[in-house]
Amino acid sequence: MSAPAVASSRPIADVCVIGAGLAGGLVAHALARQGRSVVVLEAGPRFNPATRHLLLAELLRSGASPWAGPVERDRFTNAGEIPYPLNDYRVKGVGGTTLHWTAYTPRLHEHDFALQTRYGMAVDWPVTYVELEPFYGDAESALGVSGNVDNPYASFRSTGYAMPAFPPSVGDAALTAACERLGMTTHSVPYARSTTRWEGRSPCRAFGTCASHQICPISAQYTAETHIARAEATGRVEVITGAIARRFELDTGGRIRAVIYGTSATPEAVVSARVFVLAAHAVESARLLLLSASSRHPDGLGNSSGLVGRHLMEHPLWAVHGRLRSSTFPFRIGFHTRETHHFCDHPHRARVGAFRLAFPNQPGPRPEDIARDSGAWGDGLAQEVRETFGRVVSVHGFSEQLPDPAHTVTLDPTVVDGFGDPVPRLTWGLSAYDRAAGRAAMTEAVRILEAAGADDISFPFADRFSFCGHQIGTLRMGDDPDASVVNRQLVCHDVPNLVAVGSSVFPTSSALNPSLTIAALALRAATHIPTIL
Amino acid sequence: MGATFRAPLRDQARVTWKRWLPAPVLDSTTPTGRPSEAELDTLAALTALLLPSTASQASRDLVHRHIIDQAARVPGLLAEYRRAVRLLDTSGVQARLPFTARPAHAQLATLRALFPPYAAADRVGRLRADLFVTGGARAARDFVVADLLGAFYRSRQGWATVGYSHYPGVGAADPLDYTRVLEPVPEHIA
Repeated sequence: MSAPAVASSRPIADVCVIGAGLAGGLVAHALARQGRSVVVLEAGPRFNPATRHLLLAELLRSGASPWAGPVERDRFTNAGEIPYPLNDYRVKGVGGTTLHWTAYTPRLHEHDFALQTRYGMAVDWPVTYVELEPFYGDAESALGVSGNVDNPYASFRSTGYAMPAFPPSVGDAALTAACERLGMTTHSVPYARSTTRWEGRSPCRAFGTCASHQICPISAQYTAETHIARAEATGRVEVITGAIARRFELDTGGRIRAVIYGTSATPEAVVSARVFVLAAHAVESARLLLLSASSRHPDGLGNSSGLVGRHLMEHPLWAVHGRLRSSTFPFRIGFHTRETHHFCDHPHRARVGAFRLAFPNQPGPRPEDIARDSGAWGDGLAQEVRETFGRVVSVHGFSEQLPDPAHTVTLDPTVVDGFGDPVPRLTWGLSAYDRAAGRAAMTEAVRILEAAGADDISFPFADRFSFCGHQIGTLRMGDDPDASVVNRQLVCHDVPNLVAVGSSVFPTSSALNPSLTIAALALRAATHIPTIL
Repeated sequence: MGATFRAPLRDQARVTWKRWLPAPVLDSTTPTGRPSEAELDTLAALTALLLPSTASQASRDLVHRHIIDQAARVPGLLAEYRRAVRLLDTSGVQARLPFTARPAHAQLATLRALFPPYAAADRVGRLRADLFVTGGARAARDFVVADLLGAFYRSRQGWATVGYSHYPGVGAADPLDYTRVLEPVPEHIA
């Protein structure tokens, strides 16, 4: 046991949540509604939702991301085969990564939970889709998800959506018809974004900046600010911003008694609580446990399995472009409105990872890009822009990545942050299996584009792939304490009052975006936490 | 699933001369600041030739605001604006006159010499433009011409040339507008 660094003047809270993002916000709100006192530590600031349009205006003017944090706070290093651009894909602040997400909220496929049983690959989740299904419904309701029940590849659902789905775009028509000819059914796309006014949230007005600029100026999509605000409104939740959790301290019984955090005012402040909920995303959650090493836990807290920080996963993005004879009138909505989950579960998954295929509504060059790329000017340029714009269509493949223990978050041995704590060091890459999924996704994308009559097929990414920005894994959930970090209730095997929520606990990645599953698991965890208080 | 993925040969062979003909690099060590009124006038004259539809006062104001903003914000760009102005003032058959004082046909001739036009798909034209112009002209094209064209085409006037009244950053009067085909743009608007 390490000695308490500083005393706390704050009463002992029932629960301390570290991270005010999607998972942390939902847990804090659910516990507050149960009458629990909660302190939330958030490393970043509180952004004002009412001025989001100003952030967008500034972003459009200068190109500078409003979400970027101080270098000292967000420093990290890379040691892997492929450098991972972590800071492009995370936001520290109240709302967390939902401040700049695309609000795409699919449920995972039921077979995603049983990859080992069905395909002999990786591991099964300790929870099944059937167990999680009611919480998926709760999560869709909490986030306000729009969607239609028209996905023939989806697993069963017991509830409908809060709002109808966004209808397909003009550009979807050609690719949808091509898919049908190839035997792939396309379907609507679920989003935590409003098609109608919903619980005070404005309906989407097609500003077209949610994916490309990562800001909705009218807050038509969910951010975790919603649940943080509702939690605070109960009067039982205190949110401390600019509070960087530095380490946990244990009592003599092996339970966490406090978390030490630093701010701009002090390097060491303390919050004591009966239960601690780690909701700081896959990288910082793992880092905090590793920073909490002590004589009792020399390899890091909760790390008796040696798996803290291991199995870092992402959803690689594989894109293919083609050119149609006529315009699809793109860039009039900021997200895709049609996709196919035909390959989200397929019979060859033992050799080739799953993937989903989506049809972006902002593919190819904008008028500005055409003008910059062309050497024409004057009337010739005007004609070229008019004739060229809108003809590029794209198919994006998002693929599953298998958990690989060599893909890790560790502590950098030499680089430290502003408090002198080692920064996270990422080791990430793509296995042959992961690349096979990418090749398959691009093969199918080419088939769709050719069936749509597109020519000039091209591959926009120099290395064929880009990133989705989903950091998954690092605190694996499982029943075996030797092979996982947290149990099926997300309680740490080694520390009875530590709960981890977020994509860090996913044993496998699926090909589908993690946010709704993060929310469902968080809501499920909130029902269990009172039993360990 | 379909056949094993193979990138088309055409794509694999898309090795451009850019790999061995390095592009100019913006010198970000030069200071930011504000161009002089004369420099702004020259850049406005350049813009009017690059984009004949910017001849209106509103468009000129937009370009002025953009240049002032960029020069104050982006390290290296003020120097490139100034270099481009010097290039325009000292190039062409009437180089004894400042660019803005030359007749329209002489300005056009200067531009054609400095920035030989080619379409994006015209690879030979692009190669010729890269190889047979001076380094100064290439830098002016890559930094200043591209910047001015970009500023216009991401503005309301630029999007209007493809028939759009709403575009990324500007909401739609009808949120379902994206589900409908737009009318072709009359040529006189573009």
